[in-house]
Amino acid sequence: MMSAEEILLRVKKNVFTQKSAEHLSKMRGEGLDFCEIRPYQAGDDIRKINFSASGKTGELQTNIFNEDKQINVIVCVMLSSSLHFGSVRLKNELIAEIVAHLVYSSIQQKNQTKLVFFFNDEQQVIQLNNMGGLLLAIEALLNFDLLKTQINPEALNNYLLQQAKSLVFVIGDFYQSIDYSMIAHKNQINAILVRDPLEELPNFGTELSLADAQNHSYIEANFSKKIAKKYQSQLKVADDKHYLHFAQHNINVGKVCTNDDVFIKLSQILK
Amino acid sequence: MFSVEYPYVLALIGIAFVCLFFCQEKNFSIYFPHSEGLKTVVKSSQLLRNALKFLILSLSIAALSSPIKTENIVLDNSKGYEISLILDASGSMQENNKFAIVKTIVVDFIKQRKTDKLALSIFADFAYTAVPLTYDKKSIIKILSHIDVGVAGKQKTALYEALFLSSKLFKDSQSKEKIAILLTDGRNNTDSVPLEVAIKRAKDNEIKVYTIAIGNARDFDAGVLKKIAKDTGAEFFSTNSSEGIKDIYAQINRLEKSKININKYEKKTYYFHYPLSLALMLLFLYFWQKNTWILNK
Repeated sequence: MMSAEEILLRVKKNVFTQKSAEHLSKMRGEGLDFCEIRPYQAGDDIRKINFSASGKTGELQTNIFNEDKQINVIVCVMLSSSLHFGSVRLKNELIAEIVAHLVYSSIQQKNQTKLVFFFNDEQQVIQLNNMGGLLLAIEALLNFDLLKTQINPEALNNYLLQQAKSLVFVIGDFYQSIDYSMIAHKNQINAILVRDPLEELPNFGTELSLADAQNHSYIEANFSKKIAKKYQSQLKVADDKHYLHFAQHNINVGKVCTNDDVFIKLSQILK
Repeated sequence: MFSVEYPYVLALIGIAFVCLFFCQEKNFSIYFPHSEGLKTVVKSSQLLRNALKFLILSLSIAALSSPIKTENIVLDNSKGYEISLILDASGSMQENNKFAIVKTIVVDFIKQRKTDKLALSIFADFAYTAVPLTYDKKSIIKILSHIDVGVAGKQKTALYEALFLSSKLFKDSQSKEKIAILLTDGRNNTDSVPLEVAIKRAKDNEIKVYTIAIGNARDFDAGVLKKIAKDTGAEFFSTNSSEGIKDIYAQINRLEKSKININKYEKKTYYFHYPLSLALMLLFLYFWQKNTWILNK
C-alpha cells in the first residue's frame, strides 16, 4: 500500500506539466485560453496587442482570452465498506490517488477546494488550501476504517444543496442508486466510478466464502467462470441504469479501475 | 419381503439434513463488495450443491442401514403337516350366519399354518374336494371366499362321504403328520358311505380326524363324532358360539404345532451396494463440479 507521501509525489509529477486554464468561463479577461482577435479598443491591455495581426491588417489588433475564473471545487468521497476490496490495490487507495490528483490540480489553480467524506449519516468537510492539508487528508482517507460503513444517499444531496454553485466530483463505487437530479441542476457534476476488475468479474476459480463487511453474512460457493459472467452481466445492467441517470442530468461519468493509471484515466474522463 | 436390517440408522438422515444448514465447513473467507447482488447469482448453484451433498449423505446412510430382501426357504416340506379342512355347507349352516363365521375363522387358521400343506373339502348333499393338498394358501383362501351354503346342495349332510373322500386325498402322501378337521352342525343322513368304512379309510391312511360340532347339541350326533375322533387318535370338540369355534381351531393349532422350523431358513439378499454405488457416483459428480479448475477458469 502506498503512503500518502508517495501518492502526493506521484501526483505532483503528473500534474507538474499540466497547464492552467483547465476550467474555462465564458467571461473574457485574464487567462491563457485564446478566444479571438479584435481591433484594439481604448482600455485594452497593450500587452495583448497582436503585432503580426496588426501588421497584416494595418490597424492595431488585440488578442482576447477567456477569463480564468476561480471556482468552487468540491470533491465528494462516498465511503462505504465495499471500498475495502482490491486485487491490484485497495479501492480506497485508488480513491486517495484520485482525490490527490483532483485536489492538487485544484489548489494549483487557486480554486476554493473542499474535500468531503460521506459515511453513514455523517460528513467530514476538509477545506484544502495547501499541500500540507492535502497530505493529511490523504492520510486520513488511507487510514479510514471502512468496515461497517455505509452510504446514506440523502447526505450528498442535502450537503450540496446548501453549497454555492460548484464543480463537484463524486467518487465512489456507485452500488447504491442516488438521485442526482436536484444537485445536477445547480452544479457541474463529474461522477468517478471506482472499481476493481475482480469485483466485476469474480472468477476466483475456487470455492470461497465471501463475507459482507456490513452485516457479516457469508456466501459460500464455487466461484466459477460461469457464475462470474452471470454476475458481470447483472452488474452491467445495474451500471447501465446509473449511466442513463447520469446522461439524463448531464453528469460527466467515468470509471477508474485499480489497475488503471489514474492520471491518464482522469485526463480522459475530464477532457 | 423388503426391509432394512438396521432401521434406526435411517434417523441419521434427519441429522444430515440439519447439518446441511448448521454444520457447514468453514472456507477461506474474504470481504467482497456488493455481496447481496452475488447472492442471487450463486443461489441456484448453491441449491444444486446442497442437494448433491444431501443425496450423497442420504444414500450412504441408506446403504449403512443395509436394505435386504428376506425370503423364507423350506428345505424339506415332507416333514410338514398335511391338513384337510372338511366343512359342512348344508342348508342348516346358513342359520345364524354360521358358515360365514366359520369361513372367517378357517381363513385365520390357514394363514397360521405357513409351512403346512392344506386341502379343502366341502360337503352337504354330496362331498367334493374344493382344493387338493397344496402349499398355495392364497388359492385356498380365494376359493373358500367363493364357497357358500348350497354349493353342494342344501337338504342332506354327507358327513361320512366327506370323511371318506378327504381320506383319499392323503393316498399318495409321504408326510408323517396327516390331519383332517371335520366341522359340522348336523348328523349324517346319506347312505353313500358307511361310518366304519370312512373311519377305516382314515385309520389306514394314518389320519387324525379332529371333529368339531357346532350349534345345538340336538342337531348333531356327538357320539358318532366322538367315535371318529377317538378311533383316529384325535379329539372331539363342540361349541355353540363363534368364540368357541375360534378357540377350538386355536387349540388344534397348538396341539398340532408344526416342527418344520428346523428345516427352514431365511435367505437374505443384500441391496446396500445400489445406494452406495449411486452415492459414489454423486460424490464423483460433486467433486468434479467443485474442483474442475480447468473448467472454472
